[in-house]
Amino acid sequence: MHQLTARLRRLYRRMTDRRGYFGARLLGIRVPVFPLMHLPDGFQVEPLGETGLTLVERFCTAAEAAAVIELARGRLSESRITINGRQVADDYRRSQTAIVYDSFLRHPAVVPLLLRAGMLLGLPAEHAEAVFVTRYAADGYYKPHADFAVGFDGDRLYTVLVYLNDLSADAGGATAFDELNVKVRPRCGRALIWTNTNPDGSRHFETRHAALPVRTGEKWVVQLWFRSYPMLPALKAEEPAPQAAPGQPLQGGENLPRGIEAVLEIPPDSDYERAFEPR
Amino acid sequence: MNALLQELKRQLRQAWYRRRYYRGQVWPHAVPPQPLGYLPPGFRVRQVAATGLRVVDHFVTPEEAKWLINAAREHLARSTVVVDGRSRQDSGRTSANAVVFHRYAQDPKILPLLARGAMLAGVPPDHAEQIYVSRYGPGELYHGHFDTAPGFLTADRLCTLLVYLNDLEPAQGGATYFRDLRVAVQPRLGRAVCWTNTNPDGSTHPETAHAALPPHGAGSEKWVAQLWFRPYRMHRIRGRLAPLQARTGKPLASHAGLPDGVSTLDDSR
Repeated sequence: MHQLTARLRRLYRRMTDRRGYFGARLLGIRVPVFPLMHLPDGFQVEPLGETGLTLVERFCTAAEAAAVIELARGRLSESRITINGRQVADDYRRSQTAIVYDSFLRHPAVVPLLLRAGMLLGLPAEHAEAVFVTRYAADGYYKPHADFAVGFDGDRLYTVLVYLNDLSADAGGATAFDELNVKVRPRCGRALIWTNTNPDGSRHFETRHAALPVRTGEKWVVQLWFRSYPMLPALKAEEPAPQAAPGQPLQGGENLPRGIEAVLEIPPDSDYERAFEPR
Repeated sequence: MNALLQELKRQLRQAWYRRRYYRGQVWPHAVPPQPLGYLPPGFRVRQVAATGLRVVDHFVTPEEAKWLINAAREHLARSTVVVDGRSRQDSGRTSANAVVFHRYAQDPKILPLLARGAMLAGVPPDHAEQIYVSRYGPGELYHGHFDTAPGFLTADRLCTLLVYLNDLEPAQGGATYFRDLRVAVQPRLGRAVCWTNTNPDGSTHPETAHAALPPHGAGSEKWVAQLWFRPYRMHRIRGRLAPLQARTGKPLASHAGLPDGVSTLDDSR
């Protein structure tokens, strides 16, 4: 009797272990996007010491950044800040702002940035607020501020700040965190990520930051703010096709990461030849 | 009167935007832990030209690699291959492997690794198959093969993340060789090689046929972990990653080790 129940249990376990397989067979498989395939070459994540800031190099490619700048350029208006729940223009901030992605303007140029940020933060990309692009012209600045406010606006869990262009070392325009003793200079494709509000509602007040004045040239940034609930309409239609293109063999002369070599000629009587010989 | 109407409209619009916020005040939204906080320092993605392969450096930390090897070492058994829907031993695969994470053995130490893989694959962590760790001793190999085949045991593997758990010099052999892509990847501690197996229409990528070349020389061995993700849940994961709110900000002390373009405030630029 005991053996019979043990066998039944094992059978049941095997079936429930594989029920996803049978369900997928019945309903058809829905293959999700493979985000790794859409990451730029050289995408690198580097936490900055114990500060809680994370730096991401090559968060977007130069072409993606240029597309976002082009999209924003015709939509700029004077930036405003929130005081007592109202949006007002103030000399606390001197810059121009454009909305490049919200419920009404759903431009595909912004989608890769949203998906990548959502991937890193473990949230669906729909949890981002409407996407703002900010342009700091010469003498543009934003005095020290934190990204959360009270109440509704206090629910901004994370900030992702993406720099869209390069600025030379003496052109100013760095982002300075005075309590964390960190200064980050703009570089095309670089992103800075930090937590504003913890899930329990407590806040990271030390993330106060300022955009230092730009001396020459202009500085373009994208701000992505993520909340604990969806703010944008579903992105399914805008997502890239999950279909991966067939791989092309190496032709020689490509820039390869270290430890990877091209085998253009199979050496005779080698492991390479034996590994694929018919058996 | 007009101003009053404007104000009323504004309040109504704000309330509509805030509806999910108010719902969260009554029944808090569950915020999943961010995979970002569980990435090892130096986590870096490289493309291998146009081959469709991706290489992720520092996918696992050296400590995790050591833990995986130790967890597998006692349970190693001769590897098998799947032929006609049945799993059996074969001279084309002479390595030994062990399962380190499955439905009934879920060590929480592996959860960060799983979260990282799931982040890259775009599926929840419970879509991962059980995790195998394989050991290739001197002369042990895996003949050229695909990672997915129609049927039951290896079907629907969306992507493969092959993680190297130790270093091997080029002279020691042991590379992963993709014949049709003309690529050989040398094992390197913490590095993962990733590729797509299955397309949305169910077709496979025949160009990703690969072989594990044998390591040479006495004492040289190769340890790898395989992660496969499917488009459906494989088993329930019982543990949960801890939320990361304990990591509060401490100011930077020195310039040492900072990336280019990042500095402390006293830097004049």
